[in-house]
This record gives sequence, structure tokens and C-alpha cells, in this order.
Amino acid sequence: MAFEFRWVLFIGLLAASLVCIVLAVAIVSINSIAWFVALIFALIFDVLAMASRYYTYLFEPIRKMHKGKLVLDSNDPYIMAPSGNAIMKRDGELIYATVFVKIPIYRSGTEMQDPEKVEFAVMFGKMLSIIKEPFRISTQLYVLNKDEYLDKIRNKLNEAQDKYNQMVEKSGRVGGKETSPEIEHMRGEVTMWKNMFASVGRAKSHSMISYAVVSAAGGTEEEAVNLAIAKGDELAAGIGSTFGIVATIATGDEILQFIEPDHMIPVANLNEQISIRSGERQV
Amino acid sequence: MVDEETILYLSSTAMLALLILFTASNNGLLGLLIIVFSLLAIGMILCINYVDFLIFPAFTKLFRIKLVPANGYTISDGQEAVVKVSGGVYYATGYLTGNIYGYVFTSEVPEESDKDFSGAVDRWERTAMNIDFPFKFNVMTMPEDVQVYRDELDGQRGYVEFQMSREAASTKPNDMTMQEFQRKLQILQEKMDRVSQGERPLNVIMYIESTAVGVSEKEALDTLTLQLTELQTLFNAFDLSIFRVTGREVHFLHEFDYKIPTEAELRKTFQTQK
Repeated sequence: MAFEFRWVLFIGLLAASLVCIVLAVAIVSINSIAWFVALIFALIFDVLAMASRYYTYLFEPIRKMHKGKLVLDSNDPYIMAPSGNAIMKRDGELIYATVFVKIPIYRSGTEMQDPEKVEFAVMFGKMLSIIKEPFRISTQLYVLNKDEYLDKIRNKLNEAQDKYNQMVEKSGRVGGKETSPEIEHMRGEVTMWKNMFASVGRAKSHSMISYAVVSAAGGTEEEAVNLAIAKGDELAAGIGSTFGIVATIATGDEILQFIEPDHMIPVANLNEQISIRSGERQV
Repeated sequence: MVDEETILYLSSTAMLALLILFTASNNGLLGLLIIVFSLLAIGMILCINYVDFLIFPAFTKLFRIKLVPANGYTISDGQEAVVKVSGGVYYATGYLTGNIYGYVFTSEVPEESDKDFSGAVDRWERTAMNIDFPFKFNVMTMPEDVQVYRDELDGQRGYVEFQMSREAASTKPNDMTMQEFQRKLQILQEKMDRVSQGERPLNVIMYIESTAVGVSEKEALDTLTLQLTELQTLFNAFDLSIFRVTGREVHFLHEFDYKIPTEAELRKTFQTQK
């Protein structure tokens, strides 16, 4: 539809320019000012015809521009599907649904030999041609919600500490030296969680994730979502078999992390992120 | 390489401008003014076609026009970033072009491809480890019809062979030119072999995006510029030129977050890498 409108606009503007030229030629001997104005308009229409190649989408909103704001779309950028595993966007008559497939690859180049690295790169190349439709593969470094992560570690630490205390009490050696290997093991676990708690607090809180994105169009929301999920499943199966992993379709908050900037940098870590960058700027 | 659509747009608009220019001759001072404006219009037409990424941001910056691509988002008047305000904090997202695997997809030296492959994995990890702010590396892929691609390669090979035979038939064949044709033939053969081995031809668009935060729009945009410059420096290790995306493409790249466009839409807006 947009494509057709582009051509209509282009031909219309060219025609308007031509009409102005004809008009100018017709009135050249009568009124030279009118001749001049007609040719200026002809030039404006001509330049606009060229601009219509790339900027057709601005022609309609520009008429409604208010206080320097050119509103291309006043709706939310997307709607979350009721099932929570896709986002939807209306474009004219059609609804587009988009699904995100998580790719949990935890291999590092440091633990690979050269042939393995080559194989990995070749597999990545193969992954790009898994399905026939256009899709996107993204790798994202995002700021981890440290508060949430620290809470999880704190809970694990408390659990391990309670368990250790109970074991020590049970063996009747509170404050005394441990004797059984189980107690020794538990004490090791408590130390591990304590160290982790301390190191996570100090470390930079970033995490990296890869995912694939694919869209499908439909006449209704259900149709679009079902088609997109079918494509997502196909993509997940292909990626899974290529890399030998379990790729799954992201849901709810996981999707928001991929598309919303404020989920990419959680509020809890804003100060840290702002201070890092401000510090660098000062340097 | 100029495509048919560009030829159509350029020729029709430039012809009209020239027609106006000739209409204006022999009409005194006003005619002279029209000639000047016509030449300006021709210049403008060429600029819109070739450097619209400079023209459009300059225009919006001059008139302080901000685009609103969706509720809650604005594109800054310099057309360099998409800004979202949430909880009084500004999040600015900007884009860079990036074709990391260019040398792999267009491998002209087949015997070095293994080294390139393994090196890419190491370089990627080293680069990613040195980044301490949010970024995304995106690969948009459009698999192409194998038969169409093969026919295209056949056509290109036929043309190069024709050029070679014409050069060979000339009175003094140039060795350098013949070598260049041989090299082109080798690349085409290499591509055909890869297709024969079951590799599917792809059209790829790669881009990098980063998001910066700030307590004001200016701070977020300044930080974003800093981040993108750092990304540009780090990804230069891949021996490829990376440019900041400004202009209309910023809007389309932002749209990619919510909807993957069709192949036709992608081809209309972006040049792809095969």
C-alpha cells in the first residue's frame, strides 16, 4: 500500500511541476511576476518529487505538525500478546506479531581449539539461513538487575548458613571443631556464597544474551500470533539442532529486556551506569 | 552501481529542472534568478539521492523538528538517536553500521578463510569483554532463492568471460587487466562452489546499537555519542569501517525492535551485503 502511494505521490508531484511549467509558458508575455512564481512552484514540486522517494512517510504527518513535533505514530510502539510470548503491532490493515527466541550459548573461544572455532563460526553462518523469511539475530549486553541477583545470592547464603547451623547443633558441637565431612562440605558452601556475595557487590553487573527475532503478519491478532509462534518454533528447532542447545521462546519480562531501554538498564542500577559514564567523560 | 529506480527518479526530476532552466533563458533578471534556482534544485536533487543522511538531519536541526515514532519515544532533532523518558530518566539509543563478517562472506582468498573464521571468534570475545555499557549487535538476514542467485552468478561469469575474450583478442592485451578478470572469475567460481556445497546465499544487514542514560536529554545524547565512539574504536579491530547512522534510517532501525520487515521493505530502505 505504502509502495503504491509512493509512486502516486511521485507522479502527482511531477505532474504538478509540469502544469506549472506549461502555465508559466502560457503567461510569460502577460505577467512576468506570475511567470516567475509559477516556475518557482514548478521547481519546488520537482524537488519534492525527488524527496518523495525516501520521505513519503512524512508527507501526511507534516500537515499535522505541532510545535516542532512530527508525530509519525501516536500509539504505543507495541502491544503485548495476551499469551505473553509475543508482541503485536498494527500496520494498516494487518497485525504484525513478533516473537523472540532465546539462544543460550555459553561456550567461550578460550576453551576451544582452532578447528572448534572454525566449526562454531561455520555453524553461526548456517544459523543465519535456517528459515526462508527475514529474521534477526542479536547479541545483547545489558545491565543486570544487581539488587535482584544479590537477593538471590543472599537467600542461598542464608539457606546454607541455616543448614550449617542445624548440622552443627545436631552433632552437638556448637562453636567446636567440625568432624564430619558433611559439616565440612556445608561450611565450604557457606564460604562460597559469602565470597560470591562479596564479589558480585564489587563486580560490574553486566550480562550477555543472544536471541533471534521473527515476525508474521495476520488479519487478526490470534492469526498473527499463531503464525509468529509457528515461525519462532521452527527457528528455535533449527538453532537448537545446529548448536545442540535448547532454544526457547521468550515470555513477558524477558521480551521487555530486549525491546525496552529501561529494562535493559534497570532503575536499580541507574546510578552505577550514570556514574561510570560520567567518570569516563570527566577523564 | 545505479539501480533502475534511481535512474528513473534522477532522470525525470533532473529533466524537469533542466526544462525550467531552458524556459527561463532570455527573460532578464527574473530569468537569471530562475536559472540560479534551477541549478540549486538540480544540486538539491543530487544531494537528496546521494547524501540525504546529511540533508535531512540538517533540515530538522535547523527547524528544531523532533519526530515521534511512537507514544513515549522521540527522535532527536539531529536525527541521531531515539530518546525515551521513563521515570524522569532519559534513555537515548543510537546506531552504528557494522559488517563484521564481510571478509568471510566475500572471501576472495579461500585458503585464509579458516584463519579468519577462528580469528573472528577470538576478536568478538575480546571486543565484548572490553565493553561496560549496554549494546546490541544485530544481524538481519534474508535468505535468497538459490536458483536466482546461481543464475545471477552465471550471468556475471558470462559477462567477465566476454570481457576477457575481448581483451585477449585486442592487439595488445594488458596483463594487469587479464589478471583482474582472472581474479573476478576465481571469486565467482568460489561463490558458485559454495552454493553447490549446499550453502544458502544470504542478504545481510548488520548494525550495532547502544543505549545511554542521563538525567537530561543532552546528557543522555552526549553519553551515547561517547559510547558509540568507543564501540566504533573497539569494533575497528575487525578491520572494517563502521559509521554512525543518522537520518531516516534511525527511525527504521528503531522499528526493527518491534517488527521484522518483509524482504521488499528491507530492500527498499537498506542496501544489503551478499
